[in-house]
Amino acid sequence: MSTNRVARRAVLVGASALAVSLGLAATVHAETIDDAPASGVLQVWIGGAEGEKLPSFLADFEKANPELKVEITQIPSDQFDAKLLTAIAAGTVPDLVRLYSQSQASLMATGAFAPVPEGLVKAEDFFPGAYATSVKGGVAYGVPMDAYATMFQYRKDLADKAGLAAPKTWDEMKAFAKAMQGQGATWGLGMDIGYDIYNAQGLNEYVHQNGGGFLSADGTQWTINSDANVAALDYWGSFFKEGLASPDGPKFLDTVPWFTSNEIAGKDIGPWFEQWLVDANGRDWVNANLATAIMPAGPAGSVSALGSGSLAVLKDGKNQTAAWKLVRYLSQPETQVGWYKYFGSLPAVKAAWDDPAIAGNGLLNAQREALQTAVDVPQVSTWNQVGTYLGQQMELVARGQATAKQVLDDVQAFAEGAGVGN
Amino acid sequence: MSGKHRLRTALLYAALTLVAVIVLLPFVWVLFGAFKTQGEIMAAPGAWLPQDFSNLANFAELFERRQFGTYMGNSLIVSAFTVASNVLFSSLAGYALAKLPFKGSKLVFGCILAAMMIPYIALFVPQFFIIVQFGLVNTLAGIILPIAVMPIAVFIMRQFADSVPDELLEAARLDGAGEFRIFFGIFLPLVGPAIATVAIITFLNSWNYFLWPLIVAQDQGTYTLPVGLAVASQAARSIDYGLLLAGAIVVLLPVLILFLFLQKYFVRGVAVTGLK
Repeated sequence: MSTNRVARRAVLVGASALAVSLGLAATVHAETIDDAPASGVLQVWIGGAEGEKLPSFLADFEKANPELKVEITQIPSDQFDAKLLTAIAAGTVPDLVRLYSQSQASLMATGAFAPVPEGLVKAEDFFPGAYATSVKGGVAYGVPMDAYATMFQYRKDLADKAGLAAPKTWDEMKAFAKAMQGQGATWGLGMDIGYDIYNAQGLNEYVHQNGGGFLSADGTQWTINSDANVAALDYWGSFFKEGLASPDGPKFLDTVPWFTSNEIAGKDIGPWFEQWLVDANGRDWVNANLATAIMPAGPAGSVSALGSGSLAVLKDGKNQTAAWKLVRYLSQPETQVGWYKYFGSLPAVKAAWDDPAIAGNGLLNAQREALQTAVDVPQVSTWNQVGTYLGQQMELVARGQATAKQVLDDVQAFAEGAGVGN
Repeated sequence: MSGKHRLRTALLYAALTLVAVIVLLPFVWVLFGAFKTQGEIMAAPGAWLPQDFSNLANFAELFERRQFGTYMGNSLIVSAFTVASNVLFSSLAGYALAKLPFKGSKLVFGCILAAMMIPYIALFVPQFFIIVQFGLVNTLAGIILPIAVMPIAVFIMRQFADSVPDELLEAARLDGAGEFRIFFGIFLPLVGPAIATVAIITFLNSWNYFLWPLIVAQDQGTYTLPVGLAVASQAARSIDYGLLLAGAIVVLLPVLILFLFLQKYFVRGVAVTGLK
């Protein structure tokens, strides 16, 4: 683990403890937001490259709200949570932030966010998994801005040579991987092998494909070592045991050279993979060699891992009204399409997907389908600890050093110690 | 020189050159990468050399659109003040602790040593509260203050000060010189290597300082270079390696130049204090 990540964790833990001890309990009070132009200064913190593009994208919004000055600060995404938690603890918060679904539960636990005003948006306009991420105790504290689901992406050329279509079931995925090796791929598939929290996020989709889940239905108990979950991890581990996937790679951006040079022939990966391949190999190569499909279905169906970014307003922010007006603007289908064209983030609003800019890209059909049923990581504040530990322990299964049952029993005990937070 | 001896020297140099090349390869890759496009870096199999060495687009992007000029200015201010204040206060403290016996000096030194043992991350949130109370959020002063006097700097100066002969200071005192005169006129010129060591260590610390400047800054106008680099190299669901590598060169260059000029002092400082 790098120093930065250790540091980040320490700050997270310290700041969470402080925030909680300050007694920042959520008070539910939802006002309505009028249609008058916003005014004053609006401070926005945003992680990732979004912060670079958002200022110019908001030119229209600023023109429609001439009395408003939007100040956007771009934050390194790795340290976003640490910075925001410290700011919450010290009371130096901005008005509006974009949260990452993977880690927003621990931020929400501080109670620092304002409930979404009544009538601002309609829940049914969004993909259900993405909207549910920000709902706590029946109250929404954030509005999804973008969403993605992982897909099964594979080498169309090799599959065509083998005379195979995309695998539709767990069994077919095995057969597909073997057939790809018959076509010269070193490994049939690339499985997630970062052995970190994202690995646990990946397992989350397999356990749901098998009818399992890491949390009980009411979200109060960890159910990590349930039979369905053990079977799902067993299935995941069997790809390594049977020599269909490598426990050593690819890890992240190296997926591009592995995929290009026949080291792997398929991977469960997000929609950004297409652009990575276009950058490296050009559009023609992608058109000829890349295909996408929804994840092969397990006994309980096809389920993908969901990632989303939600806009949330700080209740100690100085200009909440303007912040909600910007949230409303960014949630309009036409704004969502505009943002997709400008930056490439996929809309969280379903209606935006009817626009030809998105509907016309065949590689995104699977994405749209996957988003309907994609599942997010458990939205509890201890997921950071539990997911990180689970991801680490999955390496034992990948390398054949422990059984799925042993690993999940161990992680269950760890998770019970950590609890589900608040 | 005998033939055998010459052969041994040649072999030794060959081995050293090989190790040097292996150590330098990643740096060379960084340097070459700074001139590549994202496509070239992601391509499989990647080429060592960039297609075009005159491709300065990454550097231009950093300075023209990503505010690297501002970040560099902030970093230079933070580092200059940090070095100056550490050199001044740690040499004063080191002199007092080593050469001016006073009641409780051992306790004070013990406390300074203890402060070195506390992980910096444990002080993080309380420090931020203090900076908020002082009204120094989003200021360079807020970034500098917690590292204005580093315990390690006091420790180094105190160790060096110990090696200065008492007789010299005594002689000056007999001649009627005041403590400040002794400090500036006699003590400081004798501890040059220690000052250089403190300067280098505190410069490196402040120049590479990441998390704290990020927390204190509330807008990008107050970002320092490492924070700016982390922000600039973000791409959509990815990393813009071209910008990252070009930025790394920009961040590295001043450190490299400083090291080349002060290498002699640095080595001597390490040898005397036994610290790296």
